[in-house]
Amino acid sequence: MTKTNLNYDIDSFLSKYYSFKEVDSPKPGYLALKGKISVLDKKGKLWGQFEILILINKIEYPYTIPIVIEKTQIIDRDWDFHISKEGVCCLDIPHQLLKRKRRGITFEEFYRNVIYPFFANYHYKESTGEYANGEYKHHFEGIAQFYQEEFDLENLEDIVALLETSIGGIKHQPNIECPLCGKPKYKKCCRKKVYSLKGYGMQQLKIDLVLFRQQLLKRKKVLG
Amino acid sequence: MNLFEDYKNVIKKAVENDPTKSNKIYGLSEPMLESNREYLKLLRNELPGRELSREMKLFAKGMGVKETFDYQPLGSHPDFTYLKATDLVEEHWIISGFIDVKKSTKLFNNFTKGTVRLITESIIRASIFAVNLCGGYVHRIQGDGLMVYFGGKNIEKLKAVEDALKSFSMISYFVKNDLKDFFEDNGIQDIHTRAGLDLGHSKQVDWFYSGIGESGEVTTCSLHTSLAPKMQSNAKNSGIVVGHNVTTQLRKDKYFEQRSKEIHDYEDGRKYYQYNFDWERYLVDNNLAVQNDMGVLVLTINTLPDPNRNSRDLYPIASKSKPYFNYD
Repeated sequence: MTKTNLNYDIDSFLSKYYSFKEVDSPKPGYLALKGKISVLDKKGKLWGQFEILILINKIEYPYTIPIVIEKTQIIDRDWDFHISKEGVCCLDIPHQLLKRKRRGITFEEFYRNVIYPFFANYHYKESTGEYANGEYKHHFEGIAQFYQEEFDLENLEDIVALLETSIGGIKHQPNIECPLCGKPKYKKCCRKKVYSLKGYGMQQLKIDLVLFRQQLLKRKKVLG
Repeated sequence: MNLFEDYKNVIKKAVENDPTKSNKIYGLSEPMLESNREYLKLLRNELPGRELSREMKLFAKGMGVKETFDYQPLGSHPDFTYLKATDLVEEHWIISGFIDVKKSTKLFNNFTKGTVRLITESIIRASIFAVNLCGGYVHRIQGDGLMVYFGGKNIEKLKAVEDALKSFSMISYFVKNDLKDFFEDNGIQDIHTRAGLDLGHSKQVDWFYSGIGESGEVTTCSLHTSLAPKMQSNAKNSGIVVGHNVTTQLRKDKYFEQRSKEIHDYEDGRKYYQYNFDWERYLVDNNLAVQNDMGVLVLTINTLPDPNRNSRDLYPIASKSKPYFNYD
């Protein structure tokens, strides 16, 4: 994927999604798209519409995550709705977004699978009281939840050990007893997790390591 | 909102109950055909007639049209009926349109002629509805096609052009979005509409009575009426081709793509050009359609939530998202 395909991707998007247009960007270095999302379900029933502004970093594209701002103020500026006071939508946990960013996005695919579902999910929650696929808790608890769901890890020591191995590039023999969790073979348990973590990028892993170490310290203090 | 739901349902039922497929090996017996004929006779009553369905009424209301509109009789434009059986001629602008369903003959390979008749009639009735909804006038029905006029003495030219574009866009939508996939699921490939529209200004159109005695009709003589069916035959699948006169009325280039070959050469150095019309963009821009996550159009006349929506149908899309909050 080359860095020169932003204009091609945006032209392709605008030739298919007619309610969007390119506008002057309020943020230097970003391409801005303004438009209307109409949330329709699988039977073509309309649930509602949102005016949104999408900002895409021109230099970084496709290795970037677009910023999505809800302009109609239909969504309450309340953290229960995963939106900032300015209307910036928290589309997903940073780890998943970073994975997309590192792989490189195609804007239309990102619109279909991340932006549009975010607004569909708002209506789902309005209708049923909860998000369709659950939600991440706020701040650190959400990160811990992600590790639990993605890697089946709840123990803070195990998570720290996993992060240290991944960040430090520590190599273990595949057939030895797993030095991270103690199961019979390293290659059959934590090795896959160590490789998988690398997909989120070193920067995020280091942030996570600091957070988990802080939590460990707090817990040790509490336990005295 | 599914404006054409009732028409689609009749087609669906007719196809599903057609005996041809299940009796391909032994052929159709007369009792089977008779039973099919009886079924189709009853099914025909389910097609919307003068009484509009709830969805159609809502759509008509949203477009500012009376919920009970009178379908105009064919053959004589109401503003020019006085020309009937006279030698009089009147110059007056008009928009002429032709639309028909291509590859529909393939239907005869798969269904009884009774089923084909009901499919064709459903499409024609839906088209007549769309034309009347947009203030047009069906001049003639030709098999699975229509010849239509938009305009008259009490309407502005620009409004009539907009109406014509809306009407033909809605018919194209019906066949492309509501019917095409259904037919393909039932072994009929590539059913689509093709349409042509052109505007003749007053100095370019003669209205007159063509024929002898009762065997005639009030009609137009105009290069632009004659060009409309040529444009139709040049349209790509599900496409609408319009003449240059239409584009200059609307003055919005984003909807029109000039085709490389002219539709008419005046042989004095001037050429008359034809354009592909981006009807899907036009429907969205005019608030007659919205788009789903995949960009597929759905006709709608207002932006209020559908009262019959169900969260089960939203789940497959919503569940792709799992939000997180990390702002201070």
